[in-house]
Amino acid sequence: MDKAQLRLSVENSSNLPTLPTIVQKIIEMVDSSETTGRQLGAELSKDQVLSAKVLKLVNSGFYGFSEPITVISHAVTMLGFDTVKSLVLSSSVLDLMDQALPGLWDHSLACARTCNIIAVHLELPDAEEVSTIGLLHDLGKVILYQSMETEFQQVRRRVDKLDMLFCEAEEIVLGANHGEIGGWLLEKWTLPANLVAPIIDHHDFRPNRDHAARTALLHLADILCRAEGFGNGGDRKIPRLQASALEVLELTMEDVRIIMNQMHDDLTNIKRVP
Amino acid sequence: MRQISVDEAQVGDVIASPVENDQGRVLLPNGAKLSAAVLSRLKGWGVETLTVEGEDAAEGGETQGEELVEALEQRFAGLEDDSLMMQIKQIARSHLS
Repeated sequence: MDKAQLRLSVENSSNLPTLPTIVQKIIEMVDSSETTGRQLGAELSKDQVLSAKVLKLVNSGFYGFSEPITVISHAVTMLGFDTVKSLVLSSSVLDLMDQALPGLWDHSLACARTCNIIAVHLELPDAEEVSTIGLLHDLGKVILYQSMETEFQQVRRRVDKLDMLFCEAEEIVLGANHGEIGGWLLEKWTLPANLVAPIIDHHDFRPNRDHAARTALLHLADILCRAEGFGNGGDRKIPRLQASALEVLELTMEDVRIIMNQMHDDLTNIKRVP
Repeated sequence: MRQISVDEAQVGDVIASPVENDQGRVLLPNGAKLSAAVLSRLKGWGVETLTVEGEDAAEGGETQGEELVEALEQRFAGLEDDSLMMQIKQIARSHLS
């Protein structure tokens, strides 16, 4: 199977959780320039299960809001349309994380919070959106599990037998990794490139590509979560940190130490896995 | 979760069972994280024991610590030539002791 075929089979997979009518309506609203936050909140509130899921994600702790957000229109105002849209779209996939790989939810949550810590350290204005990228970065692993069970099991066996990185095994079995696979679905959902590109490239950071700073941030956050052992991404290895990622972010190893110390202090309710 | 005396409590411990005063008023809710300020006031409130989140040491907390260190060594095996990764390993290691 070449990459184009693989992409088609991901995009057309019937095993992926379907998007209910309300989700399609919400996508249309988000994509329309005339929609207000209030209208979007009102539409979301019509589906209690969906709004409960979104609020649960919003209050999972990685956005760093001091007070819990209980009203959906408030969440829309605080997070922005694109973030709410990505949470709405991915909520059914996120439910399957631990089913796909035990510990993947904790790893994703840790990565979201680490993205937030780094964004705040760098004084970036869009910490919420960056956190969301961290939450969704391994979406491709769930998609693989859902829509390509045979290949998923082949990847897992290779990881176990040869003690390699999940993304290395994916490249061998599929010729693509979960970053690209997750990205294809997010692109199909018409999420913006500054949200999708970092996810596609988080195992293949190149400083000269578009959205390099965000990609560098995600690449660093993922590696630091693995270093600290928060949750489990499906393998027992750590990808190498690209020195150029630190250069793009203008971070020194002393900054990395401060960030890791803060992860250790803040992420007390996320399990470290032996 | 584990029960500890106030003297054992540390900044960052997370409350796993609400702390109440004699009148039943909740002083610290579930999930509250102990700050240095709160920690210094606990005794003044007459609190003697706390239930906090985390493994009980007697339930193998120490063994788990050793397992975590071993897992860390395994994760970083093969990266000895990479000075950035070795520095990250050092920092992560310092969080396990």
